[in-house]
Amino acid sequence: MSAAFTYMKKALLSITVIFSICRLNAQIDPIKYPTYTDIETALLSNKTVYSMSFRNKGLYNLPDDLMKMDSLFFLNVMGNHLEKMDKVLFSLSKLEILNANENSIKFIPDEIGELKELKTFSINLNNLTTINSKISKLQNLKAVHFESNNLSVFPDALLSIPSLEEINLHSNQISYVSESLNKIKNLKYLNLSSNQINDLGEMKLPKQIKYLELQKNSIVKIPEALFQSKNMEFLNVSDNCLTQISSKIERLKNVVSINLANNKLKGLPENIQRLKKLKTLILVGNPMTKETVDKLKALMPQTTIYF
Amino acid sequence: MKKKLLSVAALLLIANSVIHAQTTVFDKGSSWSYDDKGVQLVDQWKDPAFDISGWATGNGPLGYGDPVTTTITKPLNAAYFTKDFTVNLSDLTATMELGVMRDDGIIVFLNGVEVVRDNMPAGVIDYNTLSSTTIDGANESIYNVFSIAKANFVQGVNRISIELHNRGAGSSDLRVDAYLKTAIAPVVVVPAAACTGGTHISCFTSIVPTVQTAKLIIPTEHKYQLILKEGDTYTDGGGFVGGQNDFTGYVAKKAGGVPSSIDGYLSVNHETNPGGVTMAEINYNATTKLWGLTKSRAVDFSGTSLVQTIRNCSGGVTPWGTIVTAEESVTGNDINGDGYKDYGWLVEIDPATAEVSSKNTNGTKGKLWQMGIMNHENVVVNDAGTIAYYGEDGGTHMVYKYTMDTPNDLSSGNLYVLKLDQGIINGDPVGTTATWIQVPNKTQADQNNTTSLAESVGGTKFNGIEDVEISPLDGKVYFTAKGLNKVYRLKDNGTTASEVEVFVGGLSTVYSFTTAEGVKTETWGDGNDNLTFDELGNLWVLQDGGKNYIWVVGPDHTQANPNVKLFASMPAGSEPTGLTFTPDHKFGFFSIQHPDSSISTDVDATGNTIDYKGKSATIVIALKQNLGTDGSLGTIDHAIRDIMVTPNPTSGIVQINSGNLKNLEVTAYNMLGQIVFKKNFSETGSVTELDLTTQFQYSNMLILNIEADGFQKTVKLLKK
Repeated sequence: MSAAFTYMKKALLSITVIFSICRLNAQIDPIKYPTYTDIETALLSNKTVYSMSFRNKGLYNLPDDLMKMDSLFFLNVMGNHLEKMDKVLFSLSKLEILNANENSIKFIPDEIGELKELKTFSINLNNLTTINSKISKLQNLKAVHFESNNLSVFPDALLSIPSLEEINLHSNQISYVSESLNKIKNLKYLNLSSNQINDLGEMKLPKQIKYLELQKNSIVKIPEALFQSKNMEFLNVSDNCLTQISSKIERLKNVVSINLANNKLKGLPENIQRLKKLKTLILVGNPMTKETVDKLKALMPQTTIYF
Repeated sequence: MKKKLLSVAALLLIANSVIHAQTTVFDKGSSWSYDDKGVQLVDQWKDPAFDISGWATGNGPLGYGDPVTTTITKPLNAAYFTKDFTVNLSDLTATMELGVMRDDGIIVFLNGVEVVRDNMPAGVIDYNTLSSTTIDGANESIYNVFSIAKANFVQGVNRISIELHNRGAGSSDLRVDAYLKTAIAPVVVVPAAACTGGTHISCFTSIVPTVQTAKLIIPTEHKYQLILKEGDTYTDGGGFVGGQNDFTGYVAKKAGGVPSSIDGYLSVNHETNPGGVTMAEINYNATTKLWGLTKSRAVDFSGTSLVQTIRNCSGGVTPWGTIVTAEESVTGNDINGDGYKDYGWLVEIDPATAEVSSKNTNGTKGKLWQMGIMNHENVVVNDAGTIAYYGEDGGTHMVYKYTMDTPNDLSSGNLYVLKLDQGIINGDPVGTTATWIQVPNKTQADQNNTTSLAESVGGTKFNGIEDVEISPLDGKVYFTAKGLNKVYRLKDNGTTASEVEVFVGGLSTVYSFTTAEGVKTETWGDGNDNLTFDELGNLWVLQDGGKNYIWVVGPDHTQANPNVKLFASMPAGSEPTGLTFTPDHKFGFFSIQHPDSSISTDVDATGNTIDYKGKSATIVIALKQNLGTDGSLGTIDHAIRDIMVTPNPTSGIVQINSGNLKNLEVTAYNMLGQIVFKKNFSETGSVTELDLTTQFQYSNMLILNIEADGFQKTVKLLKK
């Protein structure tokens, strides 16, 4: 591949990115892109249909005529009775945002790899036990929401999608999380709360990580590597089984809010006072004495401590 | 005003029958004999003479998987319970109240005779028969109330037997407990004397309880007019009215500084994804007595600092004349890179410009970040413009309070969450006091994570806070918990709250009221949702679930001495949303969200036939004398308005005497609201015959909807 070609490709890529952002900003403008709520009206419309919502329509299957909506970039099928992702869905090659929350979908078929433009994929409150590895073909994905399914491990396929900025896996039954999360180099928001994690091993986080939610697990120790997250602003490890916090916490230079409520902490390392940007520290429900908390309050006048 | 209300209350008390205290025959937690061997018993197991001396005994609740006093063997498809008790027939009321907490299905026998079958299929039941549905969540802990006629009891020793069936042997829980009491004599709400010929919108005779039918049912004292519906083209700016019409807020325009009740803005939320808000301008013509729509447009959420809105659910009208729309879904995306999650906020709108009025510190349009991110439902602001209350539907299921730094400015303030000092059990507050606990809300990181912070600081979880309102009489704060099927109230004392209690509701609580067909009783059911007070302190409760009614609860109501009336039943498939009133309370605006496409056309106060089949619609209601004139009933052929369906009751074959009506369309619904018959008659004589014999094999009553050109009527057909 020639250097010129590579340059062109890069330039093209950045143009595509700019175009995508413009459209994302405008994607749900009800005037530019009115959302049709039934297929009949959409078929009769003499305008291009970009957005459709079949929310709470009692559907067991998607209408076959959906395939005629080949310009569709937004589709909401939330709150129906879908048990599978019908084939017609994968003919929507322009789809950028798919919301399939609150159905009874048991698996994601291989064809998911055909939705190459997909940026946001929400499939909360379904019956998924695994995430099809073909999802890694979706290299434009920015956000995935797999909340409240029956996943038992962190979906490894996500490690091959560096474009992801947000992963939400809360309320599953995950007990194992890959140690190589740093491969998802653009990841900013990770929510693994309400799972069954007790050991995160030597988990390495991407540099960009900004919000990390690990609350409501059985975590006994925060991995040392986590404290290298210089961009971390919000850390929630409440409702776990932590007995101590490493003094390396001082490395979280940009952290603004830390929630350590309902753990087994008797104290915190004194150098936590070096976190000058820390505004909120929640310590409710820990076996700390009033003296310990008062001392922390004196050490950290810029931080509001909730106990 | 308050004094007048008290005298109304006194009249009601006199009119009501005397209340008797209930006598308990056996209470919750009593001892039962049980068989948990996991096999089918002989058919005689439930008979009074059956030998149960070998059965184990234990106190209720009995079962496994949920908190129980007596743990039985697991797993089971079914378990059998029996109990002997003694009664003196002269002490019993005409019907007795049996309360049963069951997870999942039960059949109850009294002295060998089946008296209750609940959540179980019809027909023969054996050990392997499973319950009809799964009972879970709050419903597992509710004592469902059943009435048993006195005639089923015998003098002396009686035997009650319960077979309890699981939804599946793999189910993690199975549980039962029961009590038996004398029944409370029903308190019947008669129309208040002040309402006879009254001019207040709350003056009506309750509608007759019904399943949802093909059209809206409101009291005969009232009329309604369609204002706008899903799919209507906007008059300004292009596009069309969205779907799932939700919060419906009237904002008065001011005439000479006085808020007008005949000229205003009507803001309608669209609980869709993508979301939106319709801003209409409407006014009332005193001659035609009809509302007209002069302008409609979409609220502009297109600023890059806003990234639009989604699922605009409920909302509120502020005392300073703006609308707050509430995003019910939270997403984590940050498309515009401003550091705020895009959706899950309250957003303030200026109805005059149809634009977002709240500002970020840099002057751009913003959402109300400090009020926090959550599955917002509604918001209410006190008259002084200093405090807002709201709740989360989903997520934390908590009640929030926000005290503004500057009156009439929602952009900055302190956030608190409600903690009941002694918690809540089975949907009932244990104590009567509560504390408002501060929730961090000053940094972007905290604003983006309101719910997990509120949970950590110890807020009390209800289930589905759908609405919070402030009583105009005493300033108490009322809120609904849809999942608990109750409306609560409390007195806010600043940093604490007191007098916390259940105000109205309960899944199986029954209320009696006077209708045109005499005294009727109806169950509150599930799904209490939006609330609105009128200025007399009547609480209007809109129901999403149950039978999708609008209830009206009097200001003097208590659970011991109820004052509950039934105002409206929504068309099939729909729920009522977002009622607000004009300042003079002559007019109420609400929406009918997601009606089925099978509902019928109707004739509204304009006299025209309206069609909102399958389309969410926004309407205005008022007393008849305030809405429409008889002369406006232009399209109705008065000569044939009294169409006859005979015979009624019928064994199945009926004749419709339809006069000169053309294009007759007849639809029959069963009591579940399902269509069981539909036929069009394009060429009709004056008499059309229908054969509904088959349909009557499965129903004792059918609702017949008859439509024709310029005509619509429903008829209740009874089986002979």
